[in-house]
Amino acid sequence: MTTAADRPVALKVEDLSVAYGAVRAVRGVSLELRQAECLGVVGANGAGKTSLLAGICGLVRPAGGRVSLDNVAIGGLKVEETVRRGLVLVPERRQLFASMSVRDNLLLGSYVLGRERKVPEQLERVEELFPTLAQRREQRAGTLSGGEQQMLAIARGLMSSPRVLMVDEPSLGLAPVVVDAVVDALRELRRQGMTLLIVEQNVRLAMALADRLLVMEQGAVVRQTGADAVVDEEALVAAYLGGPTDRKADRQAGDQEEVSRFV
Amino acid sequence: MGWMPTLCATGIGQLPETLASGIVNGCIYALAAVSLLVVYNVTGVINFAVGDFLMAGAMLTLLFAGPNGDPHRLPLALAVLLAVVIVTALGALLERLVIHPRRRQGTIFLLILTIGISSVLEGGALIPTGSLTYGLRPFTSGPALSVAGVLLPRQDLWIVGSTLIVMGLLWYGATRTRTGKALRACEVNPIAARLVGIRVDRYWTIAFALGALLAALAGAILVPVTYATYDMGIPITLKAFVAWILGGAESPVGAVAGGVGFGVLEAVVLGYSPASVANYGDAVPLLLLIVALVIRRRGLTRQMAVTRV
Repeated sequence: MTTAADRPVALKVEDLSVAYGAVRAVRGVSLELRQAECLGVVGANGAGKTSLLAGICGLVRPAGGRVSLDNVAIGGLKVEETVRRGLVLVPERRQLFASMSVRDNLLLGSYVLGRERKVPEQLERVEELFPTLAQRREQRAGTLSGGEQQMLAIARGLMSSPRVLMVDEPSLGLAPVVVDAVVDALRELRRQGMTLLIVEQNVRLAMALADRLLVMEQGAVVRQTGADAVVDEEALVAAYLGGPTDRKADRQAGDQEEVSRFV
Repeated sequence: MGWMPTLCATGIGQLPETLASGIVNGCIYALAAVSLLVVYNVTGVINFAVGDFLMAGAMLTLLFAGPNGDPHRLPLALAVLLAVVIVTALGALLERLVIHPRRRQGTIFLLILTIGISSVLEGGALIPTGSLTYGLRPFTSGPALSVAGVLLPRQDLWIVGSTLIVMGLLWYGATRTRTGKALRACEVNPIAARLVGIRVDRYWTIAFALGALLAALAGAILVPVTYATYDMGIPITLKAFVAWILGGAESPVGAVAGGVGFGVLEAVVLGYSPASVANYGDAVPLLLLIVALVIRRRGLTRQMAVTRV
């Protein structure tokens, strides 16, 4: 695996905290994501992974800390604005425009591009990456299968050609076969040089995708793997998920994860 | 109180005319109901001032077009355009100044704010117009046209035609334009809308502006068939509300069907009741409202959390 250490930093998060009233969901997390790197964030249910993403992109106003994208400070900006800077979140539970067509969902993904010529070109690229979506252009997003919905959510995120794509729980609630298809798509994205931050409860899946992993527990990063750390995959799985996992158990746990805080 | 459909007690032989008149009134209710719907779907606010935006559209059209024979009046088309533009801007302005700062306060608070806006608009109209009533000539003069044996005043055709055109434009805008799609995105999933970079706050203003536009246009096309008074708004708000609920409170098609359906029902009830009953005509929408709300088990409160982020 190539190291990304010599590439410029795309996303930098310093000492980020997120709080919901008195509950501190994220406590002083720092991370760096270099261009074309794929960073995985793992941790058990309620570890603060989703809140971390929400704080980074401005869906929730952080209680403290700094965020910068390509060395420009974006901390404290609302999500509508950070999207314009090129930081896009593919949220947990997809959050599609269910009653609208696949095509309209994708076009709305390119909303921040305005009427630029780039839009049809981008649509073509994204439909090439997800051929299923091209076949279902006119179908309502809400009638797609779970896997197709996840692909549409990722595809919609790509439509604005972001600098950094953050994907929250891409495997949540999906059948194993479908998870494989989603993972393949994310791998292809990575191969194309997309900078990715992926939150996953499924540690094996995160390991299969990411260059490095951060492990979160109770709102803080408790462990990192990567260039200068020896990775003991089984130990990681055992330590943070209480023993060797199977996907079914992961999915059941994942189903209870709470993004409903923002909803 | 205010504007009543211009009907007289009729015999059964007049049924086609009664129905036609109901459809014409129904078009006005439909426009006002769609105005309510657009504002509600995007913002969750029940805009009690819809009838007063309609009144403002009617009054301004009168102001600019003037009574017949006034040499200073503007051409009718320009008068209507100007009236609609001003009321649209007023809708946007009131959202920015009054609703926007309080947008997180919840449905009831915002409803009461719009009642406040309604009163202010009424008062604002009372000062220059007094409690007098005003009328305008039809957009095109000439005798009523006979369509399939039914006599239709020309302004009725203007009302039905304008409504059809506006609904067509709305459909086109909502399904084919970027702004229209973004507006629908705010209705369908406000969080997802923010995640793709739509400034949902701005679309609140756009929704109020569009709502005011629809109401103002309804007022402008209505004023030749009725008399405009400063207090014509509230009864129309009430009827629009009934039409909106009858139509299921969700889709524009439902709101239009609710509007026309209510217009026809009202025309038939008023047309075939003895005068002593017809005098209580304003009770018709209220009775229907009670029935509609009882039938509609789901109530009106949508998932408020969705609008809160």
